[in-house]
Amino acid sequence: MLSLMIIFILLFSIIEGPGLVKRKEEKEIAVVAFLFLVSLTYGMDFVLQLHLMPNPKSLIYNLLPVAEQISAFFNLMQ
Amino acid sequence: MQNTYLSTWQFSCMLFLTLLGNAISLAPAGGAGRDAWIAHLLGSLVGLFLIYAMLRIQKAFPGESIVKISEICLGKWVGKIFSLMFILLLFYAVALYLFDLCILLRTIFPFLTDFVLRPLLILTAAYGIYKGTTVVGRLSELAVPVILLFIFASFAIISSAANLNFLQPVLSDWRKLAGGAINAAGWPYARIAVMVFFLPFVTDLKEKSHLIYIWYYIGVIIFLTRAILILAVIGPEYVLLARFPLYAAIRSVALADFQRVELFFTLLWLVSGFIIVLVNYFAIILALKDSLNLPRIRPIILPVGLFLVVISLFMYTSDIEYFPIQSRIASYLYLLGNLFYLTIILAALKLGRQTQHKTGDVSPFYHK
Repeated sequence: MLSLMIIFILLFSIIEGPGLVKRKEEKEIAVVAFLFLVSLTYGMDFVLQLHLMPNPKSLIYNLLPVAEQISAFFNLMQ
Repeated sequence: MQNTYLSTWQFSCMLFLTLLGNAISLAPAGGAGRDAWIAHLLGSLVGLFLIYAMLRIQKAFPGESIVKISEICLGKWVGKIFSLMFILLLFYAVALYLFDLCILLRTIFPFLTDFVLRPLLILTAAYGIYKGTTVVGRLSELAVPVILLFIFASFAIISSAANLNFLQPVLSDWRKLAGGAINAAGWPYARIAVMVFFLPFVTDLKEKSHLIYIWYYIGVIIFLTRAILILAVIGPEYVLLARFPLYAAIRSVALADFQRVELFFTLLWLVSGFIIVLVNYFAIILALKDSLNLPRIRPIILPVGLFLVVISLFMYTSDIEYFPIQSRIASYLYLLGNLFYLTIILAALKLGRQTQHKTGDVSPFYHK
């Protein structure tokens, strides 16, 4: 996981970094920094097994009882 | 970005491959049992409506992205909120597609790990996005004959082992059929809503929009035939037990002295699975560009790619956890999200037209 994050950041620095700095587009830099920050935070949480970041799947799991009721109503094979 | 145009033919090929996507190897509407093929036929009506809605919206605002159109039709903030929900659904979809594709590839190549496969797939897709819409369109155009060849070959192989008694009795339980139709409507048919992000790039939409409907129904016929053949080869119970029913059906067929015939079809799984990841990843990039008013898409391609890899690894670590839960929820989520977003924009567009007609106000956006 660590090496894949480093590869992505290195690739970005080589391909887009110089142009981004030269253009000084603040919004672009802010969006890119935010995306990398979120990815790195989730990545480090995964590597170190800290379980501090919220898992998006828990949001989806809240819908499971509704989905099960719909499946039961329609007699769907499971 | 250069290369930002598509022909309707290329768009139709992209739509066809997006429709097949990962669903060709999995079992949409499998819960309907013996009536899965009828469930496909009924579920496809939702996709038909979505194509109609996409084309109507695009014809009213030629060249405008759906994110901008939703802001025009629904108001700036409401439009932004609905678009954000749609973008979140796209992120969720890519995470799922990546997981499914990697599980299938690891079934065939067990020594490859997710830490290698997912970044490889995303980096390859990122390269396609860097090249532009036209190149992605051409790639789809090239992939369609190969995909069709492999699909027909797989059908020909498994049809030798088909036992049509597995399809009897037909229409024995209407509830199961209705549930299966809802499932099929959500996935794979409602998933074609992602194509709305590519419509502004289509140059000859007005003259050739019928091609889109034709390719959509070619996809539906393939699903229908596949559902019938798989049911007839492995039976309705095993369709639900098998992780990849078409793969399982091909594996069950003995072909003279050939062994592992299913390996010939690796290209089919890989290409159809990859194109759907590519199309959804590209759609996320286009949607983010428009909703954040960014001047270029290039700077966000790799950061979004890294986020997709990390979040897909973070969300699901094992298929035992993923498969039983996601197969129950995903299709309902897709159906609600995609249908709601496009229907509400279409309704707002029609209401806006009626008001415009009554008041005589001529807005520059309403062209038709």
